[in-house]
Amino acid sequence: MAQNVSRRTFLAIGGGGLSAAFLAACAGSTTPAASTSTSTAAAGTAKRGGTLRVGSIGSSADILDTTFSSTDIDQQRNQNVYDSLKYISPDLPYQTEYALAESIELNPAATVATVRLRKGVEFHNGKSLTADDLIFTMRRILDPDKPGKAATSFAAVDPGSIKKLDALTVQFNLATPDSLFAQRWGSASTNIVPTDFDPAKPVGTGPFKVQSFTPGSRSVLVRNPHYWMPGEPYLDEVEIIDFSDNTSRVAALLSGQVDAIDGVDPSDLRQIPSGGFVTQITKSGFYQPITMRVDEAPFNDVRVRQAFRLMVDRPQMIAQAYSGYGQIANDMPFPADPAYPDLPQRVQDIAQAKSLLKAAGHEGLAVTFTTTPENGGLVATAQVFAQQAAAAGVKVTVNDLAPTSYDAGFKSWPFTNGYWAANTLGLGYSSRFLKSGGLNDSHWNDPAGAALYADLLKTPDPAKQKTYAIELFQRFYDMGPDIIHSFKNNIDVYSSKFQGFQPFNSTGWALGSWRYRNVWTS
Amino acid sequence: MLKTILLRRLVGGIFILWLVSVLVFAAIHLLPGNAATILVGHSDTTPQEVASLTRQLGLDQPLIVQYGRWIKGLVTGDWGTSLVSSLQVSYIVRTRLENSGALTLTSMLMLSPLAIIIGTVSAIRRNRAIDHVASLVTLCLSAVPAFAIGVMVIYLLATNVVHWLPAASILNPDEPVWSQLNLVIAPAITVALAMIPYPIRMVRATMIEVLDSDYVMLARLKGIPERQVIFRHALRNGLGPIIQSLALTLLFLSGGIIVVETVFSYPGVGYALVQGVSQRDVPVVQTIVVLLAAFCVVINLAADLAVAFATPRLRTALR
Repeated sequence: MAQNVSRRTFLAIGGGGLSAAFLAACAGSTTPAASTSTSTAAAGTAKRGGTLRVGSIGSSADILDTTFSSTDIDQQRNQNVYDSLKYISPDLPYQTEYALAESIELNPAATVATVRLRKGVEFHNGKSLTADDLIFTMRRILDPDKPGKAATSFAAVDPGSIKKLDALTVQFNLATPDSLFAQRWGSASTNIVPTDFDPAKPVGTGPFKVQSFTPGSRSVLVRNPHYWMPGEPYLDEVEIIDFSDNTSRVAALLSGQVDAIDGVDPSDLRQIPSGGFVTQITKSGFYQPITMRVDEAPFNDVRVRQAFRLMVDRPQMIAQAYSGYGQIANDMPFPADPAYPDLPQRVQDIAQAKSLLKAAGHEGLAVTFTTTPENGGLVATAQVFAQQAAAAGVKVTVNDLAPTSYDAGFKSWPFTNGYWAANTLGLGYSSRFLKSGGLNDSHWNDPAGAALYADLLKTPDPAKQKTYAIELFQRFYDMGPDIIHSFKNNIDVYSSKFQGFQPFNSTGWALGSWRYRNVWTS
Repeated sequence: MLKTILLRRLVGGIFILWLVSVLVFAAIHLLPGNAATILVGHSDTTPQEVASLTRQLGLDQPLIVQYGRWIKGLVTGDWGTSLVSSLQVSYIVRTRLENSGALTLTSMLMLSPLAIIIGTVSAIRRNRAIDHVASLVTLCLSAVPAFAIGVMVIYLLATNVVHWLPAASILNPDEPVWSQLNLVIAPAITVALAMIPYPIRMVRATMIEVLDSDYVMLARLKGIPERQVIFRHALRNGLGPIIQSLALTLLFLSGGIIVVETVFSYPGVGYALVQGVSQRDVPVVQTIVVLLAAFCVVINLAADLAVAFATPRLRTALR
């Protein structure tokens, strides 16, 4: 189950997060969720010093230019070298905390966003963070010739009418209403770069500075002594070492060449001895749906889609495809969203599935399930589904393609599965469920849903946003293009000499979202 | 005489390299997808962005133009830029070649003396216990695929039984490979074990033939001590075929190294080739394959020359 370095933008649009409060440590304001997150709990016992070596899947496509981060290892590297306006909080429900921004305010029509930056932040070369840097970053993201990975996320921003109100305040004018503007920050592609940014010698405001970088081999990051978060980071050095093979990675951990590995396959857990290592399980909304193309037969008929959803034995799927490391889902993505409803749990019902197929005139259906080992569990899911569907008289032929071949035909497969980040509905809906969405592999076209979504974007009021979201969830449940049978857990293993990692249940990102500023060693 | 042979081989070699380059180019373009689709993957990009990236990488040109541009660069020394990492191909290849060279050298240094010794001892004591044991062991080794040998080496020497060697050969790119030899040993042992059956069998066969020859019988009859018979008469005469078999081993090694490098994450040309193919990084794949082919041509020529010089009969014929 080779974890090939895919260029999937895991976070895609939804890199940001919901709005939340300041980091309690910095501003001292009352924030209910903040107390469980980041450094405050760890600060008391943490010690300075040490080197952390992490073994991750990477390739020569690695980059340090944060605006174009796409792979997990790019996220990992760039989240430590740079900061964004906000941080995503590790806990549920999904929300963000202020980082480089002190405040982000929207007008009632959600067409003007005002960002106030934090004072006293320095880049690694000593330059101070100002409004010019934020404006430069946004224009860079939205550059039509070379758009950043967050360009579709900030599609509402009009790059021509960004106003600098003062040295630390920027006003963005949104061409279309976007009530979620404040939540779109947090992933590496939204990190702030200085106006004199040079990709060959990159500087950011992050907890670590780049000492050396060899794509496909390793990155060495050293402590930033002027980091704006007091007391952090604790580690002196972080080495991110590239592997393209999981087996080699686990062997390196066992022989002491690396201290931590992220995104481990359950089958490799057997090799980890009981002492000396910590296994961290993250339960998030990361999902691997079975996706049906709805613009052609047979899946254009909602009865067929409903029938297929009823064929799945969900507990068996988790046991077989994820070795038990998963939670049952209910055909709706984004469980971290506050509006995620508690609808009756779907269970396997072969009789009903058969009768639905008969009513739709598709008895004895034969389909080809195109899959790829690009992410752990995908191929196993296809194989298990083929077995389960046979009981309903549906013949499923599994077509297992190499990742490159699969990617070359992305969005063309009639029946396939994929892997998508945990997210909120607001941030995740547009890329997969709007007709024009860049990741719309099901060719989903739902004008009523799109209208609801547009209304959601117009209201800054979270309560009203929730009512729209609940309706959209109901549509997923009733007639969506995906069979979302479970949410897959993420497994990390690290040496017990290190502390400060915490499960990132909001996004499902590995190794506590690779937040090495929180990590220390005894 | 020597000059004509060399010239003929050179011309033949160049033709072979050209043929290889065409075949590899065709093969990689038969695969679905290209570097642009790899780099884009499943990101949320518009078709225009993909088209723009395709243009930037020069992948929208007709195939013959792409091939022509590459081969022109190859002969003028501009080996192009990697499509995936925008590093110079010459830089990538140079560092990887150094690493693979170190691995190859270490493996050959390990296996050559061992193969000669075991092969000769098996020949001298043929059909006795030691010969049978050696036969059995080499048979088992040749039946086990190289990656399985690698996994066993890691299990035995790095992770589970003892912790003498590192499990992954993650070389520090900022330091020369010669200062990190402890990371080379495990893959070198694997390569040596995987490749040794063939030369052992060849040395044994050669030595059996030599030890049965008339001049050895005469030497023995003359009363020359057995040790001198073996070293001064038998081995010297067996040297020709032994060199040839070691050269062939080296050729097989250059292919087998690909698998072993991947098992150990060893940053050599084999590993770069595997990654290059999966990323459709055409310039890197092309260059490495042509270099490997050139290596094979040169080794073949060198081996033939070495055999000729080691065999007095051929040496005079060469003049």
